[in-house]
Order: sequence, then C-alpha cells, then structure tokens
Amino acid sequence: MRTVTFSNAEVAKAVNSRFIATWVNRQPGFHNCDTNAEKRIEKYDYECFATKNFCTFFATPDLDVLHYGSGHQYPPLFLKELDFVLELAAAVCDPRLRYMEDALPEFRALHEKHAAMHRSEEQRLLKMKIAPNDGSAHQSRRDSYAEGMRHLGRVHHDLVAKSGSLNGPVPLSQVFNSYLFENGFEETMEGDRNRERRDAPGMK
Amino acid sequence: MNRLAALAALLLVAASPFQDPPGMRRVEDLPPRPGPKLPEDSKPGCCDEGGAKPWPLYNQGVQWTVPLDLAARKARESGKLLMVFHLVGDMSREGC
Repeated sequence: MRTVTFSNAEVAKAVNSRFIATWVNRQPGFHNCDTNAEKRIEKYDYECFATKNFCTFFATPDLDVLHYGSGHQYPPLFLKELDFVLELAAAVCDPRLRYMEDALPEFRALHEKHAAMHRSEEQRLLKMKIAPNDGSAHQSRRDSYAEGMRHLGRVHHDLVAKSGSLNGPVPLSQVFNSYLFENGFEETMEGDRNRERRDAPGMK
Repeated sequence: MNRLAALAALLLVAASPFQDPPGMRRVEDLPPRPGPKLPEDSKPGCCDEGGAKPWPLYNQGVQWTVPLDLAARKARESGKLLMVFHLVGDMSREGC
C-alpha cells in the first residue's frame, strides 16, 4: 500500500480531500530488512493481496468503523472502496459525520449491496480461463484478486453482523486487533504476539 | 649510581611515543585472509546503526497525521472522515 497505492497521485488526491489519514505501528521496535513482499508486488502487479500483514480502516471522527480492508489493493480498486465509504458516510452519518442512531438499515443495505458486487466479481474472476502460455504468475494474480474480492465481501457481512448485535456502529477497538484477512502472511514472526495487547492511543 | 642511571633511562623510554620496531607489519600490510566476502553487487543496507533508513518510494502523496487521537480531532474539526492504516513499521521507513 505504501509503495504502490498511497504513492498514486489520484489516490493521494482522493484521500487528502475527504479523509484525515493516520497510521499506527502495531509493533514499534520491530524491523526487518526484507523488501521481498514489495518487490513481489511490483513484479507481479497484484490487484489484491488480502494479507494479515496490514489493514486500512475507514471510520468516523468518533472512531466508528465504516469499512476496512486488509492487505494490498491496487489504486483503481482502492478508489472504488473510497467511493463506497463516502457513499456509506453520506447515508449513515449526520452533517458532522456522527453515526446516526437510526442508520442501521442503511448501513446494512449498502454493505450487503457491495458484498454482492464483490461476490459477483469473485465469481467472474474464478471463471476466467488462464491461457497455458500465461503461466502460473497469471493464475496467482487472478487467484489473489479473487481472494481479495472474497475478503471484502466477508468484511461487509461481518460489519453488518457486528453492528446488528450492537444495534449501532462498530467501534474501531472491536476490529482493530481482530480484523478479517484471507491469507496469514505477516512480516512479523510467530504470529505477532503483541497484537492482542496493543491499542492505539485515543481509542475507545 | 648505576641503578639511578638505569631508572632514568627506563623513565625516558617510557615517556617517549610508542614506535613499532623496524620492519613490523601492520594489519593493513597483511595479505587478505581467506574466507567469505561481501558479494560485489551488495547494496547499502536498509538500516543505519540498527534503525531503518527512510525509503523515498514509500508514502508519496498522502498527507499523514499522527497520532490517532490528533487525527481524530483534526477530522472532527475539518469535517472529514478518518483513514487509519494499521501496519508493522513506520510509514516512511524502509523494510518493515
């Protein structure tokens, strides 16, 4: 995301105009010099890589989650997700961007609509024929894209379920350390032992 | 008297700057030792004294506000939503 998507001029413009962007390092002090993941993304030009390694959340200023996606999404897809977040915010937030009390039906309807779109895209991708001379890299790219669509669909459904059980918005703290992902790749070793105990400052 | 002369000579030698005996070889003069070498094409590492160095390919364009509580306050004041990128590492640093 840092290398490709957040460095894309169109994404930067869209993010800067409608969002305040912040980042949280969930494991300060950890460092490795392995840039293989970045090189692989650059080489194969993946559209999606729904890894556990990092996650992008969209929330109201009160830290109520609107949407999120784990791992890498290439700029055209990420721009679509930004559009969805803005559409959702317009439907469920008041003019001061506070989640409205009676917004659950709209929250559910929009998430379900987009889950269906992602599911349909996943099916379309999985039906794509890979020409024999395109090789395994092409198939890997296709499968990773389909995996990313499945992931976003699951996120939509999960947020609907969580908001239903809470009868209101989902606080960021509820998913910040337990977000969904499709593949368990992480640059940290041994399953990220600190992940369960770190909360971002200012979180409810 | 002889003892005093010997002591004086000893003190004089001790006070003079250290000099290698003539003909002694220094480390730099020794032939290279057999063993592993860095590959010719190795690039400078991504770390500097244990800390990650900035990598210019990261983080081009998006303006970031940290920490999260400051970003939330700024979002409230400016009427914008929040985007929170949760990662292992610092935004502008190389590697992870």
